[in-house]
Amino acid sequence: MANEIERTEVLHGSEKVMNTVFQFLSKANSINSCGDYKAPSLVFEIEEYKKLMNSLKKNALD
Amino acid sequence: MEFADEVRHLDGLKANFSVSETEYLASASLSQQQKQQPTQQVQQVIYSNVKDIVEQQKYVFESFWNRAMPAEQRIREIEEGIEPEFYEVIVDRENATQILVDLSKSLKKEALFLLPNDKSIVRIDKIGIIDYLIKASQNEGTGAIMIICPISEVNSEIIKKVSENAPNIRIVNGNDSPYGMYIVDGHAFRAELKEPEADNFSEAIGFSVYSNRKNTVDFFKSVFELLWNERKLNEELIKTGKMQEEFINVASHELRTPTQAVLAYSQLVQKHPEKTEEMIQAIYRNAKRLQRLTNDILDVTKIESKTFKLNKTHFSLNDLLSSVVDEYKENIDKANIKVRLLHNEIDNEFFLIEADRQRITQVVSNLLDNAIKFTKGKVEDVEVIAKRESKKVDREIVVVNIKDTGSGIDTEILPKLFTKFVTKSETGTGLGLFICKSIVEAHGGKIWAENNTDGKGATFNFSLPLNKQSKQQGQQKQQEMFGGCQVS
Repeated sequence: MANEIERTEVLHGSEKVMNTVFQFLSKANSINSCGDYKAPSLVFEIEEYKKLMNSLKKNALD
Repeated sequence: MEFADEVRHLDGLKANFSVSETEYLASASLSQQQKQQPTQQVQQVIYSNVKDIVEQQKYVFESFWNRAMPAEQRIREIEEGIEPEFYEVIVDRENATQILVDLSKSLKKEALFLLPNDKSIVRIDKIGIIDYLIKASQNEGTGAIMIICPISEVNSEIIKKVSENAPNIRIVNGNDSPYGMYIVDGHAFRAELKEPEADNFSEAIGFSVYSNRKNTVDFFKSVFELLWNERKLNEELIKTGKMQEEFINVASHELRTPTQAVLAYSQLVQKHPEKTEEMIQAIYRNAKRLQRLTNDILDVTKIESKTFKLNKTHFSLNDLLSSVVDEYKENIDKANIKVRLLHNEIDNEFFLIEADRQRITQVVSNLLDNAIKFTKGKVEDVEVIAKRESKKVDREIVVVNIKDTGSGIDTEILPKLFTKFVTKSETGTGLGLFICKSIVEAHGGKIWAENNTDGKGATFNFSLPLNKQSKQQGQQKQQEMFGGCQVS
């Protein structure tokens, strides 16, 4: 981690996005999130995000 | 709350990003404002693990977090229907114009407008705001609609339109101001005046501030109230100053005329001893006129300083009216005027009152003086009528009408007839009716005047409370005078 190369990039496509989100969430100890009025529905209405959040929650409890 | 330790709400937030200890991830697009559009998976994100970028975004998050309110509080507000507080600086002038139009359109309770110059009311009229205010003022339940606006020829038509269609809308003349302030039903809108001569509202304004924060609205309201009171006071001062100036002119004329007459006759009486009696009469007449004027001024001073006192006794109003009318009958024989006391009315009823006899005499004399003055030169009657009226079971009043057939009351002065310095007479000071009103009201009565419905002359009326024993004692007096015979 300490030696990871610094980078800033734009990622396109739902698969790449989901993968990046998963990596981001997995690595973090604490996250501060900021979202507009649609952010809650994104997490609770889209199945992929819901599964991702539940698996992270489960991992955190394990 | 399922995935977060704490959730906060920030109104109007436009941001979708997350920041961890070492990484930053943001959606590259914002949600569309159309709420009906279905939620879609994010197709593009920005990722960074550059230390400085992460630090910057942590700072951005902190600043949002500190301004936000607990989510539970916001949920409670939504459930209770409370509008969230906002404070917006609006640069888009069309948007600002629309806000003011919408506010005026939805007016339910209160509107306070401070308009920055005389063209402002013309500009807001163009976008329909004056019509919305007029419409709202006609609804039951609408409270105060108050406008401070510099009044000039530029806006006289609109001021006229408002006063004719919405007498509940109050307008006072104001000074020019660098901004306009509009408070409508707990919302405050303040717009900078950038182009004072512009024809349209959106062209005239600079940036605007719009808020529903209680503190902001209260502050705007207190500024408006201060300005309103200052303008009202200013109007009163101008009016009082004008009236006092008029009074000084009239009073000095009134004092000078009899004083000069007294001096002239005093000199003449020495030169023409053969006309002594005639000249002494003239001196007496003018001295009486001076006495009346000084008494009036003294009375007004007492009324204003609240040191006006009544010396009340029980007496018959019938006797008082008879004696005043008899006195006038003797004095106006030559004037082709008849004063008629309607004896049937008077004799059938006995009106015992508890009042200051001298002051009530003053009222009746003053009203008769006026009636005779305005009937001068005609062969006409002045009628004095008194009748009993019941206001409540326990409270009876006597109403005295003094009806003439003279020129009537000028409609211009009718609404302010009983205020100081109001007169259309060339020889009056305009104090008599003000004193009459003060005397009658000090007795718990009322005084009013109206033009006669037949178009000839006017009737002055005053009421006084009747003594409780009036009816009973009246019957006793009738017994004594007529031996129990009913008088018709």
